[in-house]
Amino acid sequence: MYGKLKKKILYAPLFTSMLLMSGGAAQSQETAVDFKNKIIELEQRISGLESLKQELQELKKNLLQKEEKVLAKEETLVSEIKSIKSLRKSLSVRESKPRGKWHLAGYADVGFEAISGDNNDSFVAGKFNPMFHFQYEDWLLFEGELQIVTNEAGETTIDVEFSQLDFMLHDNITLVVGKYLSPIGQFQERLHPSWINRSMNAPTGFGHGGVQPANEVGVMLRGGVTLTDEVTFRYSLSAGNGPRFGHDDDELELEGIGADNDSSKALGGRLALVHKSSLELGFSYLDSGVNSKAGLLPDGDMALARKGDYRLWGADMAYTKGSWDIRAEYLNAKNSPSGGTVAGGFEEVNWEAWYAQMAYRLSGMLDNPALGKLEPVIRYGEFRTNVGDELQLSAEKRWNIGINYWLSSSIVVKTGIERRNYILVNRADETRYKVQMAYGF
Amino acid sequence: MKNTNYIMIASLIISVFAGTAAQAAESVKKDPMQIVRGAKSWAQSCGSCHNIRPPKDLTDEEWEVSALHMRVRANIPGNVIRDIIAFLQASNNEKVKE
Repeated sequence: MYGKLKKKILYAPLFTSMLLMSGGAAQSQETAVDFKNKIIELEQRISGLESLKQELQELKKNLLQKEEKVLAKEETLVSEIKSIKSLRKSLSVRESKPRGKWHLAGYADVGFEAISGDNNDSFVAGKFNPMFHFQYEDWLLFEGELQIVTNEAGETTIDVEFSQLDFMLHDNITLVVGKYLSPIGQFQERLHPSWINRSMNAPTGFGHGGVQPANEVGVMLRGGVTLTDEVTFRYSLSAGNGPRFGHDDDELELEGIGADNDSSKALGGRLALVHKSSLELGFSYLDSGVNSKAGLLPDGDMALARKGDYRLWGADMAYTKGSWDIRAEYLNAKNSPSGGTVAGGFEEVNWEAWYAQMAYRLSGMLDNPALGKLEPVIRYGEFRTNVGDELQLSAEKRWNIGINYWLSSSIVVKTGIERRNYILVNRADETRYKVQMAYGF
Repeated sequence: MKNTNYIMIASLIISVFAGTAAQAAESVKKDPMQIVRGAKSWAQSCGSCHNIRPPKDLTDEEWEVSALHMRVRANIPGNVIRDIIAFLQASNNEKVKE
């Protein structure tokens, strides 16, 4: 109804104006036809406009529907972005605090050695000791060290110095399982790396081939307890496979052995008190049965059954205040036949070694930065082995005098003279001139 | 048989203590004096065997692992080693600390 009325209103002025323009009654039939056609044409155009209007309305409707869909999708996307951001945040937190961590450390040294007498001067390839530390959270650490050495015959040897799992049971208790450095004394466990050792080698009777085991295979409880504001107590208690007889009566295989040949465990360790003045006093003890059955040795020699008791005790001290580094250590070991010489099948063997060492970094008295890196060092030590009452060829008194130059806290160039006075007269004394560069990393 | 018993007892001890040790480490709260204590312990404990290593020598993570190794080797109490780690990590200028 409204549409028809609208048409009439639109047509009326148009029709009137056309009539006026066309004239009165004398208008021809042709003109009437023209009007009619124009009206039809206009009606068609109006109809077209109507359909366009409907199409527009349809389009508007569709547009609104699509807009609603887009809004819904936008909300979904915003939600997803938020969740992705949250996930990324949680992942990045894990990356910065991983459960497992590791660190590659170790040390290496090279050197030159000139020996008095008929010996040849030699460059020394030294040692390369990579050390691996793998930590899981705060309670487990695996640590292992290899010692790679090119020896005098040109062969490269690789030894496992230690390979152990450390369980942090408590702030004051760590359980160590595996192959570990012997906790006896202070030199073997803590001072032997060449970048730590103030001199160029181990004191006579210490280190590999010395009085004490270099390492052990077993279990160990260890830790430190703060007793007062001034004193800390440190302990290491070990139970391991222990030593076994070597080829000769005075020879014991002391390196950590992967199997026990007599089920007799070596029990021992070290107790120490550390004062805040940087004075440390330690006491060590080791006790083990050593037994071997009669039989053929790998080289074809016949060995008798031997049964012995190996006992070692030692004491050590250190004062490391400021520029001073003063140390002394004593070890005494004995392998006695169980039930007397006849029952044990061998003669009693005694080992004794000690040293005293003093080093002073000149930075403690000189302001000159270059001269302050110098460190004079002096060490004296003795080593004796007796089989029964008979002193062995290895008995020795040794002097070391040297000067170290510290390029950094863990890089050092050492120069020095070593005088070896063998106690038995049928072995010639030696003087060795040495240079060594060591790097702890 | 005797050895088997030892291993079982050791395993039990490990299991019990490992759990409590991990929880104890988590519960350590921020302590403003920790770095000061750590600096003193760093100079004294580390210097008792070798030259003290500057904090810048290692990253935060490397110090954690390296210090745990030294805790075992030198028999340093766990609370002291945490102080030392806090000092080293605060002093190594590896990055701007948040």
